[in-house]
Amino acid sequence: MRAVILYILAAILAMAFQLLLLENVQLLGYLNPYYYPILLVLWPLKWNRAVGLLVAFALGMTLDLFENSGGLHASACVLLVYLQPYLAKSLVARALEEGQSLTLLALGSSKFLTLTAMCMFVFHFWLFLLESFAFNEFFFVLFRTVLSTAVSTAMIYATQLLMVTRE
Amino acid sequence: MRNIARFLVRYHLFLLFLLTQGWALTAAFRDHPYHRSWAWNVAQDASSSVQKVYTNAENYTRLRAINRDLAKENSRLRAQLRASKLDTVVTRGARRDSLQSYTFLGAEVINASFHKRSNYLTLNRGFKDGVRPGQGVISPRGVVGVVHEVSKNYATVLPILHRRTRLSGSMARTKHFGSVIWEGGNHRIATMVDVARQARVKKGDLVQTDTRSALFPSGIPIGKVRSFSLDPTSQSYVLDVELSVDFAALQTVYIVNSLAKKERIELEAQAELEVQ
Repeated sequence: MRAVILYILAAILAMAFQLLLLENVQLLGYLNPYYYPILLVLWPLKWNRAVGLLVAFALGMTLDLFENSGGLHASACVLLVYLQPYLAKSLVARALEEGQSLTLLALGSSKFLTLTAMCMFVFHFWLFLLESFAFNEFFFVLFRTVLSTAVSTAMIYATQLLMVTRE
Repeated sequence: MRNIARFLVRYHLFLLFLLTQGWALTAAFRDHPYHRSWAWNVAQDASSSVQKVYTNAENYTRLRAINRDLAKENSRLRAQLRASKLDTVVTRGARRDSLQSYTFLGAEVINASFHKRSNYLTLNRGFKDGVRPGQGVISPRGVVGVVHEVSKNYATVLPILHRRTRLSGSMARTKHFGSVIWEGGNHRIATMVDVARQARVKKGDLVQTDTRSALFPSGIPIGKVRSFSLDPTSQSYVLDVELSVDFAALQTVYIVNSLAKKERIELEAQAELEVQ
């Protein structure tokens, strides 16, 4: 119960941060960093995945509303939350059975960074690919994906680090 | 029956994934996703009012630039005023009705993006101010785009920086026309295609709206030619146009209501019908 309340609080904070601050920031002229997918990266493996899909859909649709992008974010979020356990499993062998927590504190820096980077890569690649929807822009999409993944991962790592040092 | 139930239980996650994914993709690729649904209006109004608070704060930091733009426009308008008075004298009587063919409604940009493949703007004017989908939008510096969707208090705009936008423009010097599109990437540079080979394009030439488009008055700047090349297959020019409007710093715009648009479109449709 406590974990659920904490998650909801974290979700409100992360979405506020995303919508009120980051939506108005453009790095290097055209790079819009996304922070809110951390909520899906950290979706506990013990929790119901069907609920996870619905939460992902709702979060994505909220972003879509702000960005006028129809359902692009919802699509990328749903994909991310669906693939997240498999990505986690590839890193931590028995992650699924043991319901391993995926926070920085539980995983350690290198595994946490790898997991976040993989998740953010999937998220951004799918988002930019759908957005461009043209194969002749493939390398531009890839370029944007790599840049955005790096920035988002760094941001997520920084905030997690803050929480770890607090505790 | 039991097999179906077992199948549903076994693959419920994958099925739910397909369902949500399908819903999201349909929403993303439908042409007019939430048009006129009250839920969309409510949600759009809510998200727009959040953005408005933010934009209000941000505007204070840009007052100097806004003032400069408006002052420049004032001086240009004052110059035109003199010219239009002369015009009135000459044409009085004969074409009095057609003298005013456009009205302009000032609006503020409360949300904008320019870094995506297809970008949108949100304006603080909506249905109740008389904004309708398909009206042109200009700024003191030049052409911005076309109104896309309208809710009660807000409107979204397809700017030049959108995959679907295609504006007709003409070269100010030679009057040759073409289409202005945006191919993504740099938000300061658009592409103008299908300009006739006979147009002797020069670097720095002004591209402006032309009379073929019923949305805008003619002569509104779109941009300046930065570089050009001749497309060998179609034997027409492809121009890189540096846009007059900087979408990264866009504040005040005008929504253009073309009074004669309906009449003109009807007449042109009729003419086409008669030929067929």
